[in-house]
Amino acid sequence: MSTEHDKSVDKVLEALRRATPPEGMEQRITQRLAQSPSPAPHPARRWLNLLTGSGFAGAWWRGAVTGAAVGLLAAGLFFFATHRTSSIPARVPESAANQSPTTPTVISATGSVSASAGEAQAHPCAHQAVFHVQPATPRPTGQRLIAETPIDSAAPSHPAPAMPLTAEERGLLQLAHTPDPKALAAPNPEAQAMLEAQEAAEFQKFFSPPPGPDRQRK
Amino acid sequence: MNAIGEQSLPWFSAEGVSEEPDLAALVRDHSGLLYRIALSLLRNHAEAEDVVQDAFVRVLQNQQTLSGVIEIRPWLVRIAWNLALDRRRRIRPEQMDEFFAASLVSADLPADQALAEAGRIRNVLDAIDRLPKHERQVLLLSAMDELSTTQIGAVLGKSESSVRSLLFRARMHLRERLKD
Repeated sequence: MSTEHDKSVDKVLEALRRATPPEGMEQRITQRLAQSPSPAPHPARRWLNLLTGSGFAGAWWRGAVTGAAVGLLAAGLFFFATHRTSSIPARVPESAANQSPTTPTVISATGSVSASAGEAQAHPCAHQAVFHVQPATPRPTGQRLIAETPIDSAAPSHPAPAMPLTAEERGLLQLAHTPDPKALAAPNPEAQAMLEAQEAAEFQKFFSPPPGPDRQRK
Repeated sequence: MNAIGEQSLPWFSAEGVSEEPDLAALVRDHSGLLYRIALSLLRNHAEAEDVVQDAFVRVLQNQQTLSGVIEIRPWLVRIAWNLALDRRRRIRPEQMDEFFAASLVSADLPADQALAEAGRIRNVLDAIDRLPKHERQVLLLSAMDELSTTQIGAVLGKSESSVRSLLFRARMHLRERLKD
């Protein structure tokens, strides 16, 4: 029984295997394909074909793209080199003088400004460079400095006129030149007399005569 | 049966002489196989032919993206297979079984034998429809002599051993269901 079923299955599968397409199917498919509009190539694909093509246009475009890439690389290197040199005023002071007036300038005391932050952290004592960052204040150029210089500054300088001393200044001068209290009191007779009387009293008190026998008996 | 790499299209190679694919050659070489595959799913000759036409129109519309196609036959079979599955959802192939079974019966048989044979074929088609999806697909694709097990696996996205296993189970389930 199972053999009959297997035969039936094989017969159906064999019929499907041997099915023939209807007459003229290939022509109908070809006609339909001819009527179907061929889609335009994708723009990215078109560019890819243009660049990878083996014709003259492909070679020309490859050369153009290569040249443009080389030019961009050279421009980038030039910009990098010029930017690097302009940021080191110790080596090229002229470029620092002609720099934009609004850009802050980094000035190194020792001139070794090429040390990176990582190196400075790794070896804090290796570079003793002291950096001073000047604020971004407008700085006049050389020609502008000459134009703004007043004419009086070119004239010969004169000493400043003498000014009278104030009372405090005079007192200080007097104190500095007469440190002795006697000398200070000398101009004043009353103060001098009082001072002499005080000294005499102290002297008499020190050399006063000892008490007599009468006083000892008492 | 052709080997796997024999059907690679020459215009996809790096040294391809012509940039445009020869669609006429494609139609001539593969339309019969695509038609049989579509017919096994749809069981309707007109629908199967429409599927083949749609498959080649798809090829024409996507001919600029074919540079990655290595084997053209599994690729075309997969297109036709997916289009047939999509069309099968819209039509009801079981309604066509009577006419389809009658078309498969040999015309040399007498009328009574032809009727009995058509009934048996209808039962087999019904049993095939009730198989699990993957087993049914493997069974129908394996019926085509032009496709190797590896190519069937490539169409269905399965390994060669998995295809063999599914085919064995499909035959076993089919036998059990026809017994009932």
